[in-house]
Amino acid sequence: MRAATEVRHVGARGTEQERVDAEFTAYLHARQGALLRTAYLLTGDRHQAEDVLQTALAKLYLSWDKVREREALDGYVRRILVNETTSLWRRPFKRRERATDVLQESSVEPAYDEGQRAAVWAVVSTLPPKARAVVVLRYYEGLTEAETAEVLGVSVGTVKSQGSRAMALLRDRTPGHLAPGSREEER
Amino acid sequence: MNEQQAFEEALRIQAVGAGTPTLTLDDVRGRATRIRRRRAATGAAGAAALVAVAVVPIALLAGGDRSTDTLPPVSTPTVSDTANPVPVGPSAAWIVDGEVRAADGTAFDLPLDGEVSYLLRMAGDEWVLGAYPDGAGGEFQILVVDSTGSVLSTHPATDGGLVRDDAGTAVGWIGEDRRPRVLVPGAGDPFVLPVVLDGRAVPSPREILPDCSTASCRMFVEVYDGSADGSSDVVVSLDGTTEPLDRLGLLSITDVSPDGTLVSGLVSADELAFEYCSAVLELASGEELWRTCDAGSFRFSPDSSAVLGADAYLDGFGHSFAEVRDARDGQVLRRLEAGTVFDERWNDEGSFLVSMQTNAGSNELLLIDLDPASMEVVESGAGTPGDPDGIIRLGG
Repeated sequence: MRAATEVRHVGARGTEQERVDAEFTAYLHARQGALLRTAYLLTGDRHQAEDVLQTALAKLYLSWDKVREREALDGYVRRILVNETTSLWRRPFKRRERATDVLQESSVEPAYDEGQRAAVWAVVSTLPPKARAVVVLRYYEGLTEAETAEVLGVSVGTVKSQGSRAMALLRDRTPGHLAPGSREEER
Repeated sequence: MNEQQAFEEALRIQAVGAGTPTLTLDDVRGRATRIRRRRAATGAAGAAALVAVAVVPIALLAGGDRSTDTLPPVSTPTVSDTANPVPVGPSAAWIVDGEVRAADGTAFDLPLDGEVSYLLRMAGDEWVLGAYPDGAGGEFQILVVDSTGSVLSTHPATDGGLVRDDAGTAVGWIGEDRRPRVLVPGAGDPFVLPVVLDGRAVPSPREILPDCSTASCRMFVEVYDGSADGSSDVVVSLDGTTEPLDRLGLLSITDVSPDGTLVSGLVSADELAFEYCSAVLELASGEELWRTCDAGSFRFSPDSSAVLGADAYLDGFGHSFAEVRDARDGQVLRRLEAGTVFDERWNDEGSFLVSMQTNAGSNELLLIDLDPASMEVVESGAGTPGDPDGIIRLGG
């Protein structure tokens, strides 16, 4: 009798794990491309991007059943991505984790440049991590200031100040690429 | 095109460079095993004598780069065991522009091109580097150099970490055969702890306990068992024995005090709530002396009386302060608010170093004295603002 009970428990655990794996795999297939691009903008390095994404997804996997609102999944992963990116800087000198796979060269060529993309990216890539995270979430992910603050776990005021700091740098460093007198349009 | 549109367009195009995602469920599960161990059993042991810590509230500086203005009064740390003074280890060192510099004025050029992951100093003025030298085929190596930068010996190793005892008389790593190696000053070659550490990932050495020698030596190692439970900490000894440290109830061990009486580490991790709590425990009994969820990564001062750490992993903006707490009761003795703190390290029992980046993007290395309270900018402006490669890396 006892043995039969144990068998049923093992079977239940197996089924539960299969459910989690199936749900997570579906999420992985649907979202890892977009999340990798966000990670790349945060880190500026393709291998580090995959590294932080792998960790972020691992943490999501471990917490899968605790995330009650499935629409909150991306926000949760974004926050871990930002956390992991800033943590990368604390690791011993260079990253210690190494991505398991070699990234593929992109087959997509940018259709638009005119020098502006390079100039703006040069500004973004030299932003302090706080301002960079705000820029990526606000202007790539398209989050509002409130949504950005929620993802980062900081105040809206902090998002505003960091965003303004980044925009001021953009004005100072790339004046020739921007329309004179143009100003940020608040969402 | 206005500024917002410029940002959006540039980022959209740049993001294409991320390439094609390749992660599989197995990749994710593999990484998951290395994150936290025994999540359900968090804090089960050693919590009986928990002492709540009253953290002195300190106002955050809105947009401030760094300040000592908001610090609580400085308390002079007391030596916990004056009858058995612990020798003070080598002072801290750092790497700037390819040069190793130490607080005592020692400086030499790095003897290699490539990634340097670890820098430790041993007594006798030998330095130990963990690195990926260019031309080594991507292999991780341990290099022992003298104070002029000349390479004395090289040793193959796995990149699980490089640790040193607090007195600077032993440095340890994990060999390619998954056996721990320990090098003592002047020895030339390391000796082997005869224990093979199995697991899915490379074991990570955490601490060499005091009084390690070729006659007797113990090392704390974090091993990864490959199951969903993740990692666990064990003590491996020169006599070939292995002792699990589950009795401490720590998710991971951060540091053991130089006098060997206390241990710090992570006691709980709620990944969903972004709450990470750390504690200091009596090593022998496992009694928890205090815990906090405000800060972590606590490392003991050379005299074992205080711990140095940084704010916990709370938001996406990285660490914004470094602080010193009394090791016995967790009282905050000193806190430095900074733009972004990247590393902090004890220099001696009365001072510590903080590597940080100001909100304006300048990299700085600060030397903080506890008593009398003072702060000195040791290095400034090194590297490129916003570039992780420009961060001043601490070792020593």
